[in-house]
Amino acid sequence: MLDDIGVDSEAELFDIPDEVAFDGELGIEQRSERAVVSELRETFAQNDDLVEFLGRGHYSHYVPSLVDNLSARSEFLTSYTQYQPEITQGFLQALFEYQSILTELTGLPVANASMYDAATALGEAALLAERVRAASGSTVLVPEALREGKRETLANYVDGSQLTVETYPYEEGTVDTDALADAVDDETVLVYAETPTVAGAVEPALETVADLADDTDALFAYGSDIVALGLLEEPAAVGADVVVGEAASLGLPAADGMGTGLFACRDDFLRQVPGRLVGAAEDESSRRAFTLTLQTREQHIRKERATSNICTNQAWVALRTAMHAATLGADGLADLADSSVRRAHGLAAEIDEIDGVAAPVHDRHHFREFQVSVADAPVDASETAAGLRDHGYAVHTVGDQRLQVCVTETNEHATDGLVAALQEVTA
Amino acid sequence: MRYDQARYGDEDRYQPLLSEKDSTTVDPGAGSALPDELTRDSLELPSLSEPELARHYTRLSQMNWGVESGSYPLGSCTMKYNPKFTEEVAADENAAIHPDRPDETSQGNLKLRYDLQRYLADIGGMSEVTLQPPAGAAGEFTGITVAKAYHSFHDNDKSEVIVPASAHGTNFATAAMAGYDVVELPSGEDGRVDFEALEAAVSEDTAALMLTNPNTVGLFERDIVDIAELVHDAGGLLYYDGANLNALLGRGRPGDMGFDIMHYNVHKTFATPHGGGGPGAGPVGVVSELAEFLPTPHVRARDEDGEIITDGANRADLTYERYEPPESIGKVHGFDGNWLVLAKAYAYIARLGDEGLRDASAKATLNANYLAEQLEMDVPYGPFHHEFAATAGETDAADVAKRMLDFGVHPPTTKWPEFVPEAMLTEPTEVEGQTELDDLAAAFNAAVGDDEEALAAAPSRTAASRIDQVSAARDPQLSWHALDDNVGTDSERTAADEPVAGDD
Ligand SMILES: Cc1ncc(COP(=O)(O)O)c(C=O)c1O
Repeated sequence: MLDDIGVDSEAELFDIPDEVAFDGELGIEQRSERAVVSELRETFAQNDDLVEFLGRGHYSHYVPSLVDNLSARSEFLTSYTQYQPEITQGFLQALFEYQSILTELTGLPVANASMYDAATALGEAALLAERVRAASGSTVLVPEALREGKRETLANYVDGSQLTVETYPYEEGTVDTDALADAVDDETVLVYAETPTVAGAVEPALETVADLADDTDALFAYGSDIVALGLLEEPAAVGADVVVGEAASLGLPAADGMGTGLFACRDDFLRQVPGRLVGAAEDESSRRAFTLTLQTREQHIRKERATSNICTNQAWVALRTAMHAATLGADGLADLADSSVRRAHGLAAEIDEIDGVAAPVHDRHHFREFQVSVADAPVDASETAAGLRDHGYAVHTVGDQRLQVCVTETNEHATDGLVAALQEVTA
Repeated sequence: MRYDQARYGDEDRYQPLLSEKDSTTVDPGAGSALPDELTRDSLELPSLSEPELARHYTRLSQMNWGVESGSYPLGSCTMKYNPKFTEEVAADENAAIHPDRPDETSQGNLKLRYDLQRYLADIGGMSEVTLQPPAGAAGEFTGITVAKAYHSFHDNDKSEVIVPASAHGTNFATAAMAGYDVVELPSGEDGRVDFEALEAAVSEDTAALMLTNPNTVGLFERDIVDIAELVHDAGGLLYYDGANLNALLGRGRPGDMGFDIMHYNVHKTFATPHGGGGPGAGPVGVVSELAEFLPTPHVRARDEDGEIITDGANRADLTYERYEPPESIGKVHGFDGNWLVLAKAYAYIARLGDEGLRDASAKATLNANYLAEQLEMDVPYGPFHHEFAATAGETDAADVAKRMLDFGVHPPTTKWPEFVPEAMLTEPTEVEGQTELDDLAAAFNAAVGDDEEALAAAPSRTAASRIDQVSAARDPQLSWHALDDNVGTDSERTAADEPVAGDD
């Protein structure tokens, strides 16, 4: 091959001026496959072996084996964006099915083929609100109890726009509607509310939030996750204009924070949607086929006027999410969602029996998780969490006097142990 | 080579949708633990048995093309083979943890993160690297946000980001998203940055120049030192788009060239699977003056005496902790980025080591040059590194690409970058052997030499024949709820063209 090109060595092909060429050592030792596998097995074994009762936006549900096996097929895993739809019908159809499952769950007609995660999806929703807003105004209202990852990501997303982010308070763990009514004004372009909240409470006032937003022509962005959407009020039915949240609660196990952003919205925002969209099409043989569509919104065509800079997204996770949802079916998903309520209620009741410990802190229905008060126990929250850790359990601490506990089918087997340990630690 | 893709379906459609097989509707609220007013009363989803689902997805996979199906020389995308063992590594159950665990209980994952930060910093010639951005474009946004924070910290009044015309669309979109005016820089006659045009464009308003090197047609920006000096003298920062880092592995480091900020596109350079469009990861490296602005949390290491160790990759005696850099821009992702992708990238880098990384850039460059040599097409500019843009000349590059599909290869990126007419941006990567490159060249040559009729009729061996993207965009049907009955039955095809540039 070198002869064909007419050079003696590959080095001759490099056109890097001497002054900037690198001829030093990086110092990365080459290892065999076996060595890397065993090195990393050892590295990961340094994570403590804990049963996690952790949530707050990142959830662990059991992922059926079918999902791992079929998503690993190399035609899926090693492909890329479907620039040539004729040879990538399989992935396009899977993404179309993912979009369809989200439109069913949200009741909104448009869902994109994925954002990076819930936080970036929220950032995109704010930028969409700025683009579609007819009147002037520049305030985005979010709950004060928003996970910092969402708050800060949103702040970065809007920093280059005219938007500013303001917060409204919660009362008893969900929207304080009077305070929200005071906060909403002509400046408001978007009101964001979530259900379940970061503390696991099911929001009872969604329709009021939607109405308040509507009164000033602001958009209502509904935040949730794909499992909760299987049970909770359909976003469109309560007046949501945009739905954002976590889609990978189906499809991925706990993955150290990796997720997938769910993004759905009203039809009239179609040309302002960020990210990839797959649509039905027809081929030369007049058969129905699929293709990426409305690409003129996107960065590779519209450049600085694109609706977003997103290019690579979370397509493969979206495929897994669709596979997981399809495996569950309507029954299975509704059931998983309802169990998420029952488990949370059940565990909270057991914990509430412990002297000096109260749960749930908020007098609300809960989904998967809830907060626990140790205010009346002789130990504070971090001492309690440290004590639980010694027993092999991980829980969140929220301030000095609260814990947060998340229960799903993956840690349910350990709830008795958790309750016993909590009793001991707080005695 | 002859190729026929699997094609399931009937006269009206290909593989039926999940919803077209069987669905059930339930009332999730009935019997729920939640009161009625909080629940939905209807949910309809497909209802298939596990074997039916397994068949559905197997068939869909057979109607798809991946790197393991054959050549995939999509320019700028670096479609390498994705080593199998990295999947095994990432699937380790001990690594499947929640990000909110306390540091002392997640030392394993933190160690990998720290070691990867160090590897990437060394590979790029940077001081510190954040792993948080979940893709290349997210890395760009992080990097430009860091630049903005730096300028505002120093009270520099900056309003513009300069982007070469040949840059990827994400560069323009990122700069605009961060609130900067975008100044587009025309390409020079030799396909590189036109230094005079750059001198004219740079001013005290310049916050940053975004550049990739080698550029988007594989040409090294020979004036990089002067370019850096020009931008720095105006108080601007130099941003490196890491999409093309594969060409430089072990041979050139953006940090040594004067770049201040860079992203690494790990799904390209470090062989993590592209997954049909993601997930990727876009870590960002910065020089030491910018490290204090990086996203939070950042991972650092301490030795047994509690001393902070800034360069301690692969040590067994350190403990790892997350902290907030003093002037941090905050977060750019809800948690800490695409963990599974990062774990695979670490495994790949560790497997290759210095030697393997240098081999990768050598072989990638050799392959691109060899392939360019075999083409009976004009390939303007040069000398190339890992990729080149051939031109289809008078022929529509999109047609040539469709015809190539019939020869059992994936075509290159078409019609981009725009300064090469009817561009076919080709990046074979280091993974192809000579036989594959010869087959690929044969596919190019056969396709580009074909008559109009053959081109218009292509592709014929893929699952679907030529797809009418224009009508699809005119009458968007984005879910199975929206399907109207016309799709799949006869309707006029239109000739008008929605831009269908494959990008990168
Ligand atoms: C030159 C260039 N820059 C930036 C990007 C954006 O990277 P990503 O798709 O990972 O966001 C790409 C590829 O997609 C690219 O080719």
